[in-house]
Order: sequence, then C-alpha cells, then structure tokens
Amino acid sequence: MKTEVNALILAGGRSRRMGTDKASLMLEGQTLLQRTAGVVAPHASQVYLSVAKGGQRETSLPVIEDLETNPGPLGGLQAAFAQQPEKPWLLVACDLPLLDDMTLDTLLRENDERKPATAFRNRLDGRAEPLCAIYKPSAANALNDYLSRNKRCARGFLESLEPTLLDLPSPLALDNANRPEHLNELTSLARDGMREKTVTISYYGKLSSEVPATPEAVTTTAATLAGLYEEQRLTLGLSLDLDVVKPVINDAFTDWTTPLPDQAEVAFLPPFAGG
Amino acid sequence: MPPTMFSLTTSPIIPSDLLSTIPESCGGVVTFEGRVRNHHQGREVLKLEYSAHPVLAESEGEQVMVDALARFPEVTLARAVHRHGTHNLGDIAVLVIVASSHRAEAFEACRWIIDEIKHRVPIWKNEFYRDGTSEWTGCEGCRHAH
Repeated sequence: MKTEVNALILAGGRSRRMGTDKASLMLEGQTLLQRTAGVVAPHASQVYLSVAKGGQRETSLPVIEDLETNPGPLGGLQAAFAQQPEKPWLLVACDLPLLDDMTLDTLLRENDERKPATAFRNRLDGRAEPLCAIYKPSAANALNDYLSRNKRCARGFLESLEPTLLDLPSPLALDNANRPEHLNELTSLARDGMREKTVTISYYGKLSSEVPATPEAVTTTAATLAGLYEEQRLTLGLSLDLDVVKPVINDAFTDWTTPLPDQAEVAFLPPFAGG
Repeated sequence: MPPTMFSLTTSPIIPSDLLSTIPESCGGVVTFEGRVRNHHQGREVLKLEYSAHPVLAESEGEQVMVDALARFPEVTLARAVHRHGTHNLGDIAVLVIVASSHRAEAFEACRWIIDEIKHRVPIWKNEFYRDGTSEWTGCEGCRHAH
C-alpha cells in the first residue's frame, strides 16, 4: 500500500555554484522547481514549498517558512513538522532534473511503517540520500534534538535514524545538478541513454597522490567529462571539486561539457603551481 | 618554423647558456630566476619535486611566449625554461629572459611572462618539509584567476 504523505520541496537556499538560484534553472521549457512540483504532485496529498525565513518566492504552492535564519535543508523539515506533526513528510530537493514517477512510486510503496525514515542508496557510494526521502512523525523529536546540537548535515541526520534503504529503480533519478556542467551531463544522459565506454584517466599534481599509481582503464557510463570527474571524485574520494580542476582529452585542453568518446585518454589537472 | 621559445628540462638551468644568444640590437636584457627557497608559510623546506603534463606544458608554455611577443611588439627576444623533477634549495626552477632595444618593455614583458607561466602552464610542485611531511602547494590562493 502506498503511504499518504505531504511533500516539501526544498528551494530555500541560494545556489553558490550555479551562480544563480538553482530552482529557476531552466530545463526543457520549465524551471527545475516547476518540473519537480509537477513530478511530486500526483504522489502527495499536498505539496508545499520550503522557503527561507522572511523569504519571498513567486509560486502558486503553499509555502512553509523556516523557523530560523539559514538553517539548511533540515530546517525546512523542522518547520514542516512544526506545522503538521501528524503527517509523514516526503522531503525533496528541487535540483533533481531526472526525478521520475517510478522513483517516487517505489519510495512510497516500499516505505516501512515501523522505521522513522525511508530513503534510497546513492548509486555511486551506497550511502543514504536525504533529499528524496520520507520522514515519519517519529523522526520529529530526533530532528529537534539534532538541530539543537548545532548539527546541520542532512545525510548525517538520516543515517542516525537507521532508515529503510532502497535501491534506485532509475539509477539517475537522484543525481543532482549543483552546477550547469552537471545539468548538462544529466540532460545528455537522459537524451542519449547510459552507454558504456572505456577510457584511461591520468591524474596530475595533488590528485596524483590520491589515486592508484598507474593509470588504468576505467569503464564508465558518463556522457561528458563533468560526469566522469564526478563519478571518479565520489568513488575515489578526490579532494578537489570540478571548479578548480581542468579537463584534458587526448592531450588537449577542453571543457567539462565535452562529450566523452569511447577509448578517450583523459587527464584531470589540479590548479597549476609552476614557477 | 620559428625556434622554440619555451622548453622543459630535467637538467640544471644555466642562465649563461641562454644569455649568449642576445642580439646586438638589444640595449636592455631582463632575467628572472625562480629559485627554490628554504621556507613556505613558516615551514622549513628541504627540497621540491616538480611534475609537468608532458605535452601540454610545452605547448602552453610556447603559447605564452607567442602571446608575449604579440602583446609587447618592441620585444626582440624572449625565452623561458622550466625544470621538472627533483630540486634542491637554491636550484633554478624557472628562467625567463627578455631582450629589447630599451629596458621598459623588457621589464614589463618579463613580469608578464612569469605570471602567465604560473597561471597557464600545467606544472605542479610537491614540497618536502623538515618534519618529514610533504604537500602539493602553490595555487590555493589564486583559484579564481584560472
């Protein structure tokens, strides 16, 4: 049986990396926020938009204001429980461009009533994904306690609840688009499908000390260089974000949106430090 | 094909080798030596290890020199050498030589070239400290300049 939930869409924070408000980022003629609300609506009794304390946002959705200034995503959930403590909440980030019906169906159908939360495993590192998850009323006290200890990490909180964890039915559904390069990666994958490629990757400078010594062939389904780097960053635990790294294909500088060819020789260059 | 203006080497850099090629029309020659110093942010440095992207360091370095001549047309000659591999204290890691009729543009072009090399040429520096640790350093503060 499907659980009846309210949905809370998170769009409160400003996106530093997009250089713009990521909720208003356009995808196929809609903002990411409009798209997310459209996907979520059939699965929830009511969809709310989480907004900053005193924040303004043009929306037709009912809003729930944070109780504190800049409390992070968990602050949105706290405000939702404060308003409706008896309902389970489906907490959803607005920056999941490939979120789909099948994913939400699975989450609501597989929800275990006895657990305080139900969530998916991240497709790359297997850890719990906090921003497309169901939080039951039994999680509300733990949340207040967590926030009162000045903790803010949504993933840390979810893991502390020992949630039911599910495998993603559509692997890309929870890949988030923090940056334009990642949105491009995801739209490329959605358009062209996930195709397997074999590439070799060389790392230089600081990155070279964080990976196995010899470059080895890597099998990937990434569509662009941004997707490949993100995949490697998460699986190898690389310390540098894409914004300070330069990508190289076949010994030529290129940019992150470049489609990844099969058999490519890729290099990732950290900030230069010659002289 | 014009002579190579930028080169990479693993051998010690000897400035006099390059200075012997200055044309007699040049009244001003500016030389910059980047040397390995014994400290970094308060830590005692014992040696450095430079590494470079083998293809792009040469091509991008050459492009810096081409850009320099376009930007400073009065410059008669510009050369740069960057060394990679292990360096001891006092070793020259990079040498830039600019020659022109008069000193002003030589000073200006030399400064411009070394700054561009640091920003654009894919070379990295691993510093080894007295306390036995090592760290990749150099560009944390200028990430937005790239």
